[in-house]
Amino acid sequence: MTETHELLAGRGIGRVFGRGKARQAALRDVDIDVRPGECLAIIGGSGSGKSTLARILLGLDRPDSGTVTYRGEPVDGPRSQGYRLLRRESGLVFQDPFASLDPRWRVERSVGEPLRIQHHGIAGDELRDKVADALDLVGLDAGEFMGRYPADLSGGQAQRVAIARAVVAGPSLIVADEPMSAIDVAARLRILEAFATIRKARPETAIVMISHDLGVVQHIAERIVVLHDGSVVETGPCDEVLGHPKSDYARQLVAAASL
Amino acid sequence: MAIEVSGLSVDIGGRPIVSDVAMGVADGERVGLVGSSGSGKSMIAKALLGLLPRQASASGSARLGGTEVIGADETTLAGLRGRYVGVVFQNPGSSLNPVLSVGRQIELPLKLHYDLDAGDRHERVMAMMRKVGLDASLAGRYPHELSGGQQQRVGIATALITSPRLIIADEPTTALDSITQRQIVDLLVSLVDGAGASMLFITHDFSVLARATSRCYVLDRGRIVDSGQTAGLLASPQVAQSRRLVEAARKLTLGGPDMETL
Repeated sequence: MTETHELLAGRGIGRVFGRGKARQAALRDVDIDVRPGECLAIIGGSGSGKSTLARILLGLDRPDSGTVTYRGEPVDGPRSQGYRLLRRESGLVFQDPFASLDPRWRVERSVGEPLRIQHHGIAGDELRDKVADALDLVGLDAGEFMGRYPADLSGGQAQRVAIARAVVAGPSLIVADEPMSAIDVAARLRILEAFATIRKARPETAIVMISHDLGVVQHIAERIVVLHDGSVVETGPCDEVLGHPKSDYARQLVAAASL
Repeated sequence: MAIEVSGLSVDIGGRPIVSDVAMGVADGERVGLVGSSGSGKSMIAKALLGLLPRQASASGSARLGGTEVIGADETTLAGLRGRYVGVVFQNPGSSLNPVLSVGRQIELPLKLHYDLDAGDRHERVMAMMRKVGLDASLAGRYPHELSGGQQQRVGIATALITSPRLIIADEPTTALDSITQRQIVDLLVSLVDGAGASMLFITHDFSVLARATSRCYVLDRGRIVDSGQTAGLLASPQVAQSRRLVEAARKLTLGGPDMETL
């Protein structure tokens, strides 16, 4: 059984939106593997199907064809064993941090929420320490930031708070969907550093980074999957895809990320 | 001069957002305004367009094509906006009117600012759609039916339809993917140069600025901290704030230095 080597796997995934004339294939026969502890980048332009793929891999949307497994268990609806495991062991980061943080909650409460849900009864110093550790991983001073509301954070700081929340419960998998595209260039570096620190401190945690920008993922991804019009057009180690892109589309992406 | 700003300050509730800014854009010149989020660059654009929020107060001078806009009345501003200056915004999804078809969207500024008959307007809209690379068949479509890149092409067509002498582009490519970003920047540059117009290009990203502008100003906390030829600033930034922005742009570019070395 080689299947169980992968943490998360998709096989032959297809997804169609619309009906009749408006019928459009968002994903066609996509195979994808995420291995334990690796950083995998899913790269593609707007409309390439990358966010649809992420939603399907996370069990938030169902494919019209193909299967998803997590630790070898099928992810197939909210009652499936794979889905339950996946929800417990994964953290998500979205594009717009202000939309993903509750504006009425202080940073401490937002970051601690996954822990309170998963470990009933965790409270006080134990909870506080774990929240402080997570903030430390993303380069935010716990003393300074725990009491703040989202409105008192810059976009880059808010995104690092969202990353701290994704990592606080010690997930096996973090999925980040365009975590840097709404953030200015200087603050993107701090976010990349946060991910780099997480990779060092938690080598067993796999990261799936979804992006349109090769320049952003070059410092962090080990492998790259290039999606175009719903199909995988190229996949391989980061250096190979960046240095010797084989498909036309990957060549365009490389050109677009070069000065 | 297309833009002439001196001693421009903008306060909101007594808090300084823009402080004593002086800058200029000559006729036919493409100039960048670069800074991080919150540096005040969009507030400068709003001041130039007379679109400051009600609670803001501006002082100093800002002239567009010789006309003072600080403290100008609505008639003066409305005249400038449609005819002298066109604006391209960051998020075409929200700056386009969702209930207007592409053709009507692009036509609207012509209708408001020029006295042309319907046939003449239609001809101009079709010519403009060709120029920005939109197929004529899209004229009847609505914004939500278009991709982000197509939406921004509509935004550019709407800004350029009245043949303005100046384009103010506020982060026009930030919401687009990297390949589309490049296409849109190249399109803007060729249209602005083709019309002999001027452009103020606002962004947080030096790597975009290099393609779009020949000269730029660096803004930090509401103040201009550096200015010069874009190529020179990119090659050897002298001021700390410029260096930070240039290094960030380089690190996020392929073939740039590793994370550790900068």
